[in-house]
Formats: sequence, structure tokens, C-alpha cells
Amino acid sequence: MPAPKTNRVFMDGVWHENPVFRQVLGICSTLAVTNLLRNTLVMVAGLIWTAAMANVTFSLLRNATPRRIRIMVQVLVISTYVIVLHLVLQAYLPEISRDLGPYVGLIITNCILMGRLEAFASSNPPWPSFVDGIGCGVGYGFILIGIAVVREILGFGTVLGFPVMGAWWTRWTLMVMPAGAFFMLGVFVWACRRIWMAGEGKEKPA
Amino acid sequence: MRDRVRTIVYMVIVTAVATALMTGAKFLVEDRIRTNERLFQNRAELYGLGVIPLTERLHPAEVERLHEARVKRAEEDSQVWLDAYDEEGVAPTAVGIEFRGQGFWGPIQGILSADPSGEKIVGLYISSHQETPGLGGRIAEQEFLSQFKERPIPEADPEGAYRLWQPTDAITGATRTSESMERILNKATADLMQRMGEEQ
Amino acid sequence: MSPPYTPLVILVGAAFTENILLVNYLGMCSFLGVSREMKAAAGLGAAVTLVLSVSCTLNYLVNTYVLMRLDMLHLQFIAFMLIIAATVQLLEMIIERFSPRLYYALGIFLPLITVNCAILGVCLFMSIRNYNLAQSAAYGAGSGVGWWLAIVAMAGIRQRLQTARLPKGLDGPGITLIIAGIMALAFTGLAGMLNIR
Repeated sequence: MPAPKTNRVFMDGVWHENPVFRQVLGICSTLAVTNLLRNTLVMVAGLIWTAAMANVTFSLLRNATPRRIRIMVQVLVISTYVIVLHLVLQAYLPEISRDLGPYVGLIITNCILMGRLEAFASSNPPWPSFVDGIGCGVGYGFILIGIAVVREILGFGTVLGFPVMGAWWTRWTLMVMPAGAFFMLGVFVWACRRIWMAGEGKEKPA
Repeated sequence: MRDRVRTIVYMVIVTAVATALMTGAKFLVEDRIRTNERLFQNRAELYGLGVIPLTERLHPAEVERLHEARVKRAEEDSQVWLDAYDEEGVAPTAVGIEFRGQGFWGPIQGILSADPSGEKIVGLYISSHQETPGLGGRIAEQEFLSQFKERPIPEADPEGAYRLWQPTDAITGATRTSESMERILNKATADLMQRMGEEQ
Repeated sequence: MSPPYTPLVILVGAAFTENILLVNYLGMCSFLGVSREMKAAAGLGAAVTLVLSVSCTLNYLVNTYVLMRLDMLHLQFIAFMLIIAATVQLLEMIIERFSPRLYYALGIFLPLITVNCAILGVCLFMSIRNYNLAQSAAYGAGSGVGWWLAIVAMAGIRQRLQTARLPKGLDGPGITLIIAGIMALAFTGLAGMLNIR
């Protein structure tokens, strides 16, 4: 099969096959880190890095890896990049590392990474795999940033820590708590799906 | 059979490479991570002992210099005692305790300190907690912490308890966290006063 | 220093007051994917509970007696994942041997338990909170029960939803997330009743 066009691969990751609202992957972290925009940005950057690097690496190994241990090797590849990321965060951004806690380690089980390694990198050359990693990361990213902006403004009245709502604003603390996260994500998924359905002009499978 | 062997060998090689990469990365940043931990701890102690105001954000080199010159840390039976001195490192300016207690969502850890005569609080800092951000989490904010500075330490009541916490200290919407803080701070005050009593 | 809670309190706390799915957001992907149908949901919930109980305990042992002793904590994620993968592999073999029907019913979702973030997440929390052996076992089991509860409750609700007319685009993950939000709200009421951190 000829290698897919870079443009198409990237746009698929960002919109048409968006990991969050189309493939329904990567939900755990979407809910956990989006109460503060700062943490979200770090998580998104971390995921783009890991997705791109893991995709490339596994793509390079795809023909040499025996089928039986495919999943184990995928886990190893992802874990290595996440651990390196974690160490870098602890060393250079210690406060953020403190806030993000175990959720950085949980990037390893972020289904986006496993999903893309299995669905794309295991049967595609390195360059498209790399682009797919970045595309899916970006697609994941803009949804998360959208949710985080809303949650932080409504929940804290700030954006990146800077107050944007005046003193008259009563904080919607529910937005910062789990229920708010679920509601926001549900609404976002709904909205994106509607837009996507209108764009494609066909019924999407549930 | 050959297949099995090949699979195992491959697995071992990939694991070895991965482990090597991770261990290598760890060696490269180990020192920095340790420095960060120490910096955080030193900064917490400087805030908690009232050496620097909570609003001030010092450069790491300054934190090290100040802490070296003015703070002494002693550990006795897993209890940490802190003493702050003036610029020359001679006259004591504060006596502090590192406290740890159970909050609403998780452990709360911090530093409480009084002036050497035991009359008022000179510093309070919360170094770690797991309370809800925006609600109970406000115990780590400057607005909450600063209301304890310069507060006179009340006399012990007949049971020996110190009621440092005032009802107005409670955070609206964070009842359980406030209850925990009341318990934790009153106990820290009691421990601090007991130690200061023993010193004399 | 281990927190001073009895294993029973931790077990009940992990299932209710700090439900790993509705409070800590762990295990969402398979939750959203498998909660359509009751039988599959119940089966997966049971499998996850088993894997959680076993791997949390094993990971405590590995963490305490190997990683900490040899100063290899930076390899924690990998070690935990390997144990989890091995546990799932073992469980797969046992299920295939003793209940082929369940094995076929679960299908691809059985090996996918390995990458269920709930498993790794629970093990990491266990390590961060310094639970001892009994507490780790209780935490693993309790978290599993909580997840099982949530997915079965969701499956029950979604089965009822099949006859409802939903706005376009809301069907599937959208409505599931909103329902999960309502469930999370309900569980928020239980917060603080039991402390397990």
C-alpha cells in the first residue's frame, strides 16, 4: 500500500479521526488535567512528544518485532519516552511536576498512544507515523485546551492563573470537580460530533 | 523452537536498550532533581519561619544563602524542629515546627513558627496538601496564611490545648478542610509551646 | 509511613468515597466502550477487579523489595506494566481453560485490560500513599469493585436509553459522559465519609 499523504494523515489525526471525539481515546487524562490550563498545556506537549516519538520508534521496529510480543514492545517503547519526559519535568519544571503527580506516568496508558501504535505505526513507514503522532496529539490538544479554558474560567475565574473575571464573579467550583469535567467533555464531544456530522454529510456510527 | 528463542532474545534486547536509555536519562538529571527538592524544602522553611514574606519569590541562589545563614534544622524522633536566626546567625528570630496532619482529602504538611518568647506566631506555610483546588486548596494561598502572622498565641486552656484557630479563619465552602486545619494548627501550636517550655 | 487506615476501610473507601472512575477518572476508555451491554460490562468488571487485586499486591511486593532496595524507582512504570501484563496474560489463560464462554464474550477486551489506565493508576496511587501489603491488596480489590459498580450501573442506564430519542451527535460517548457526570455528582455526596489517603 503506498504511503499515505502527509497532509491527509495530519488532518485525520486533528479532525476526521480525532482521538477524543471520534475514536473516544485518551479520555482519562482529558478529564483529569483540564481543571487548569497550565497543566493541560504541559500534558498536551507531553503527549505530542510521546505520540510522535513512540510512533516513529515502533514503526522502525515494526518488521522486526515478533507478533506475540507486539503489545509488550509497544508498552516498553511508550514507557521509555514517558519516563524520560517525567524525569525532564522533575528536573526543569518541578512545580508543574508536583501538580501533575501520577498523571504524567499515566500517559503510558493513554489509549491514544497504544491505539495509534497498533492501528497506524505497526503498518506504516516512519515518516507518516511521525506525522500521525503529531496529528493525533494536536487533535487531542485543541479539545483539551478548549475544555480547560472553559473550566478554568468558570471554576476559578482565571486563565493560566491570571484573573479574567472581575470580583463580581462567583466561582462555579463544580467545574473544577469530577462532575464538571464529565459534563464539559460530554458537551464538547456532542458539539464536535455535530459539526463533524454536518461536514461529512453522513450518519456517524455511535 | 527457533521462533521462541528469537522472541525471547528480541524481548531481552529491547528491554535492555529501554532500561539503558531510562537509566541514562536518570543519571543526567538526578542532581538537578535533588537540587530542586532541596530548594523547595529550604524555601518552605524560609517562608514558614517568617524569614521572607510569602509574597517574595527569591532566586535559588538567594534561597540557599539565606537558608544557610539563618536556619537550623534538627530532627528528633521523626519530628522536625526549626530555628531561625538574624543576619549574623546569632540572635534567634523564630522557633518553628514541621507539622503533619490529616486533611479532608489527604495529608497536610507545613511549618508553623513563633517568636522566641512564645508570644505570637511569626510564620505559617503549607508545603503539601491534597485539598480541592479553589476551595480547601486555599489553605496554601497567601491570603489565608498571612492572617496568622503576628497573631498572639492564646493562653493554654485547662486541658492544655491551645486555641490558635479563630472561627473567622474558616474558608467558606471548605468546611471539612477548615475543621482539619483547626485541629492541625492547634495541635502544632501545642507541640511548639511544649517544646519551647522544655527549652526554658 | 503508611497511613493509619484498616484494610477494610480502604476497601470500602476505594469503592465508594473515592471511586476510581467517577472521582479519579481512571479506566474511562473501556468504560465508555463496554458499558452498552450488561453481560459484557459485568464480565469485564469482574476481570478488572481480579487483575487489580492481584497486580496491586504483586506491585507492592516488587516496589518494596526490589525497586526501593536497589534504588531503581525510576523504572517503576515499566516494572508495574510488566507485572500487569503478566497478570493479564495469566488471567487470560485461566479464563480460557475454565470458562471458554466468558473468554469468547470478553474477546479483545481481555488483553486490553493491560493498558487500562485504571490498573496502572491504582498501582501508582498505592505506591505514592505508601500503603502496606494488606492495604495495597484492599485498595486494589476495592478500586476494582468500585469500577465494576460504575460500569454495571452505566450499562443498566444505557440499556434503558436504547428506546430514548437522543439529539443527533449525543449518542454514544456524549451521553455516556453526561450520565457519568451525574453519577459523579451523586458520588460527590459520599466524599469525606471515609478517608483513605
